[in-house]
Amino acid sequence: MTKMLKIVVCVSSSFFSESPVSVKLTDGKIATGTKGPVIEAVNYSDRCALEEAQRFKQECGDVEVTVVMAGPPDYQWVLESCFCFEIDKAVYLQVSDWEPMDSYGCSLIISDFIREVGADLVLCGDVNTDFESGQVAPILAELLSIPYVSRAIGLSIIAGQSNMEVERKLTRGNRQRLRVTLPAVASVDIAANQPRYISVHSRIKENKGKPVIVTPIDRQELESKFKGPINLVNILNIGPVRLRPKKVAIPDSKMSAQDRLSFLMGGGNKKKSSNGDKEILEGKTETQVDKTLAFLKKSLPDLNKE
Amino acid sequence: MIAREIYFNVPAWAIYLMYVLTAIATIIYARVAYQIISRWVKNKKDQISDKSQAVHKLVLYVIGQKSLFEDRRAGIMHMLILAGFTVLFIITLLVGLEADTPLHFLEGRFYTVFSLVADLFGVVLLAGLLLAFWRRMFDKPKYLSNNAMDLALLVILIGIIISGFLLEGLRIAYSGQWESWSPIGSAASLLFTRISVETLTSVHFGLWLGHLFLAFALILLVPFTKLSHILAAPFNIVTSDYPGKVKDLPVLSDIEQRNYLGTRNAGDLTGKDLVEVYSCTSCGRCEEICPAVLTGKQLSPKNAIQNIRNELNKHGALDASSIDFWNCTTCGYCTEKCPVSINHQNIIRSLRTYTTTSGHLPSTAATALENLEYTGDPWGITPKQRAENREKLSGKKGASAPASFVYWPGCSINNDLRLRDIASSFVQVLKKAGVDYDVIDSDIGCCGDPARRLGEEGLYQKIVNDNILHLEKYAGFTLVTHCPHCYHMLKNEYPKLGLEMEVRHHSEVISELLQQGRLEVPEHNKKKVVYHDPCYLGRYNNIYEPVRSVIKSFSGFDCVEAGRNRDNALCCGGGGGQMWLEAQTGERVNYFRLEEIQQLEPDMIITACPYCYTMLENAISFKGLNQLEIKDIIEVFA
Amino acid sequence: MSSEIWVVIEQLGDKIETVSLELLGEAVRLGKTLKATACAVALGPPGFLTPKIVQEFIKYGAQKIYIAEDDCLEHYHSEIFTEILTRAVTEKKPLAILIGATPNGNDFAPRVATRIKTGLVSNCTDIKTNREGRLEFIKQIFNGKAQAVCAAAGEVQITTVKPDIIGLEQAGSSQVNVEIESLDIELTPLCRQVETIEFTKGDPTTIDIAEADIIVAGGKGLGEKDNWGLVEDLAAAVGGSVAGSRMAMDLGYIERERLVGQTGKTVSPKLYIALGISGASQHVMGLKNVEKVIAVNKDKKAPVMQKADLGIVADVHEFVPLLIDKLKD
Repeated sequence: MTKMLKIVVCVSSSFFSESPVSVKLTDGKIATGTKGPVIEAVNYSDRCALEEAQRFKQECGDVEVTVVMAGPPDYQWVLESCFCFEIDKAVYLQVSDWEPMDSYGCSLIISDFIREVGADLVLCGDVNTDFESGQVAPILAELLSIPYVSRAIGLSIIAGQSNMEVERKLTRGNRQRLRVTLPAVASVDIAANQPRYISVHSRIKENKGKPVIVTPIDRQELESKFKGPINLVNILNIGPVRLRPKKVAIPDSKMSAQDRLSFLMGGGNKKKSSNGDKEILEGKTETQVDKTLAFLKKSLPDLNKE
Repeated sequence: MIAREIYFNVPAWAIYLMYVLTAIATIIYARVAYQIISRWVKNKKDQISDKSQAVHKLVLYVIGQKSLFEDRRAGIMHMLILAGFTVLFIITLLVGLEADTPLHFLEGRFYTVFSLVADLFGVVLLAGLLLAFWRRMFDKPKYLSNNAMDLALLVILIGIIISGFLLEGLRIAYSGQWESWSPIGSAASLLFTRISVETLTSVHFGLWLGHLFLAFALILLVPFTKLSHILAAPFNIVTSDYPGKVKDLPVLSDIEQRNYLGTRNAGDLTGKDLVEVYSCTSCGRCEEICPAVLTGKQLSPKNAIQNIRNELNKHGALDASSIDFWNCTTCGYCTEKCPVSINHQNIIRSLRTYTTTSGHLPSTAATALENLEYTGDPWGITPKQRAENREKLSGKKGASAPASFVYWPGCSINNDLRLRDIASSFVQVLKKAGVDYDVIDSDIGCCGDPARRLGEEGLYQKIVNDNILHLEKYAGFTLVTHCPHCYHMLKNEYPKLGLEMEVRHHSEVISELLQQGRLEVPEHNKKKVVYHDPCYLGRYNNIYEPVRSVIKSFSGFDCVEAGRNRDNALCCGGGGGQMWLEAQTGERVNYFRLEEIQQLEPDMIITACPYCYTMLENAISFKGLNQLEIKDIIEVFA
Repeated sequence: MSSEIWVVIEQLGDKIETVSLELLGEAVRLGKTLKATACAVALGPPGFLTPKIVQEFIKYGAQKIYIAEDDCLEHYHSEIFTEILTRAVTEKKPLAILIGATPNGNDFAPRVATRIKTGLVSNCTDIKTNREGRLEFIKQIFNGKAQAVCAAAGEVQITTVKPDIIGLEQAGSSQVNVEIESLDIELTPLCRQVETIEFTKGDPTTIDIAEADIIVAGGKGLGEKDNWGLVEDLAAAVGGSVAGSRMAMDLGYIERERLVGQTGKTVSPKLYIALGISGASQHVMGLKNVEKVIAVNKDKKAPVMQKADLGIVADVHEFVPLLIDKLKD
């Protein structure tokens, strides 16, 4: 006998990669300037999380999927976009004085909600491409005192059992398989699946079947309970990107004379510029090969070549 | 006075049986008619029907069978059948009137003429049917499917005619009088001279019952088999645009108020769609140059229509799994060639619309659509990048309306460097000819064709509405574009949503400039060239000659025609959103088309469409044919 | 509060992640301003801290090493790492903790931060100190459109920093040994709720090319199918993954999963070697944030040469075998 599996998916919105064109901090609020067609949509990894929830619905049967988002007024459309996935409930936790906000504050608001409704599995996207924090999921796990798995690409719940198996995607193709007791929080990596396409019609149609339940959240109340601002991170300044010059050191003491010379002539530091120092080699194959080897040694100092 | 005894040798119960069968048939026909009429009314706003020039269409295509005569043998065969069947049908109706109403006219001179006509047209019909039989069993054209039901229907028809003549012969033999006004019957009667009267009457009655059953078998099979075309096809031809004209999908109105778009259930098909499905005779002409069929894909326009027909009476979701609609390149061949004016394309594409708008489409296509929505370009090129590209094409300042052109470069040039040469060549030519022009600014990216072809109706309407607003500043200009897809959109589809601007294709403009002497034809080496007709210029808009006339103006060019050219041209495989879809099975359409062109051993292929250019160029590159050049018509001037 | 800046090291076997070493150098730099010493914090199974690894830490500036050794640390475990680090931080109260923004680093850093009631600025590209001796963190936002300078509340500061941004810098220390202190390990009930079933190491020949660090891709320039072995051999020699252009797929040399390009996969390796590839825009679109591109092509004017950091005008059939030979030395 299987009980109903309750899944809560936390979503957020993000800008499409080419927009916005300008970002400014004015009076502690972020103002974005855009040019061109509409550019905000449900964050991609959140869509992957929604698609995972869908997969559970199709495979496990008795599953209830609730989608939740915390944000300022006028962003309920994000949840409305999610209706093309077969979700059962959509709740928007509206905070009228949203900014300044960070992952911690957001997680605090959402954790209260999850504690209220109860969940067996909380799914979030890996990271929101606007601010690249990726902290909501682990902080939720902390606040709810339940296990956390990051970079999930393959989740399977054995129906009836109270745990799940998850595959984590690490770098260089490494994979870690875990057994996790439910309830738990998992953040879904974009490699987990191909989320379905959210068509324009599914967003603009009048009869979406379900309403978005808007729950206003009183920030003042939260902050008096928390005894301080709920955001632990503050943005001081926003400006154009200026990367620090990257240091390059050659770790191999067995440098060839050629390498040593170029290292010294380059002052030991090489700027990491986007144009790069391009070079085209012509001439004898032997020389080309030697120069390539030198290039490889410089580029991949930690490479272990046989 | 010569008259004819109706129901000679037929007892009363048999006549009642006939009336009972008639009643059953009537009920069945009424049900089908009701289905169509109610659907016609219900889904009217989504349907395209065109009652204009009805009489002309009737005379030319229904009576005149014009489209069928493209294949001479088929044309003759079917004309015989049509003529024979129509006349005999009228004959039967008249006999029915004589039998069941107070009217009496089957007597005297009228009757002799009547009888002669009936006999002669019986022969005509029989000749047609025998030709059909021969064609089906011995000639076997490649695209003609031949299954048990097809053969059975033919055999039943032949059986009805022959039994009809035999019955006539038996009656005449019984009467003992030679009827010169019934020559065939009289000839048949010679078979029965030695038979006794009792045998005659019993054989006659037996054969009469057989004839009755065959006839009603036919009548009852009509709504359920290809024979439904007898009633549906003339109606369809008269309410469609002319056969041979490809029409795009209707623009769906009020999409916010609909729960879903496109065809999900059989109940979404409009009345016109039903008429079309009933008109299909499985003749297979649509498959002859269908790119999907030729390259071994699972899609076939004929099978699609037949499959939908089988699904018509089901209530649940349409099982479209057997129709591989993602492989359609929307070349329009099927719609153009169909002798009964079926628009296969639109019926198949409506299935795509449902699938896409409910979110399930191949991921490469989904990426293209997302790019299209967020940057205005299916390749993801941003307005900023577009602006950079257009800087290089910038026109003469002070170009003004009217009579001035505004160049619409479309989205293809942003992605591929080689295609940019087309745009820059065109602009250079305009400058050389002293033509004022402007270039569409970077707010506008794509015309929306990929969205339309992939079935994203919501996105399509959004893009078109935005573009029309942006185009307001060019009021009075003439739009000119080198891309036939953009051309088709701007000329035929944008006006449905409010655009009022003249639209020309660059080949038309160049051709005119040459005629006006405003352009000089540059020198060229002797080359054998082949022009590949783009589907969206050719079949969709009937533009075949401008490029050819330009090619002919080059003295060094020897222009040869591909085996399948003009309205019979084989698609390059790039349309219908195929640029962003990965064909999973079968051969690639572009390789197939290239092989066909290659057989002529040309030096150069000339195209007039960036999709055709890309697809054929890829094919050339793949096959390593380094000597074969490919150019857009405008690049030939550079 | 001690004046130590901790760098949590990530290592697998005897290989230390480059970002951990980069951060040691950073800790040294920050330590100069904040008068703090750089310390390496390493967790792993018994005996993992070999003298060779200790030397690496010292080389990059660690003046003390904290270590936690236990069987339960055989594989990465979110709760155990969090628990051990929280305990250590609460007890020792370092000035700041620097962690590499890797899948594991970004896993435990927010958890530790929450437990020590500090805000975490993750995925940073730079760290600065302000006049009050607090750290300010710089990160890129909106897909690299802008840069935000952030500050976080909390006594002990903590951050995760992106790999390959700061660069390696040796400390030039002549020290041979440093103090090594053991950290307490106490497991909580939550620790038992997660268990590693299996860990698989990615084999460059089989992993998804989107995850590969090194890719060797071939195109039409290879010619006959027999020549495709050059691509595979070079890949084996440099420890990379095999990929190809559209031509290679159409000719049957690779399956769709190894296609790089617009209708194929987008890849971000550290090194991309393109052999006999012309560099049509559809292919090049599949290369995103690639550190270094080497291209070998007969045609100097091939579009791929524009994209390459090192372009070699040569016949792949001559160049590649020679390169492979020299690599083997």
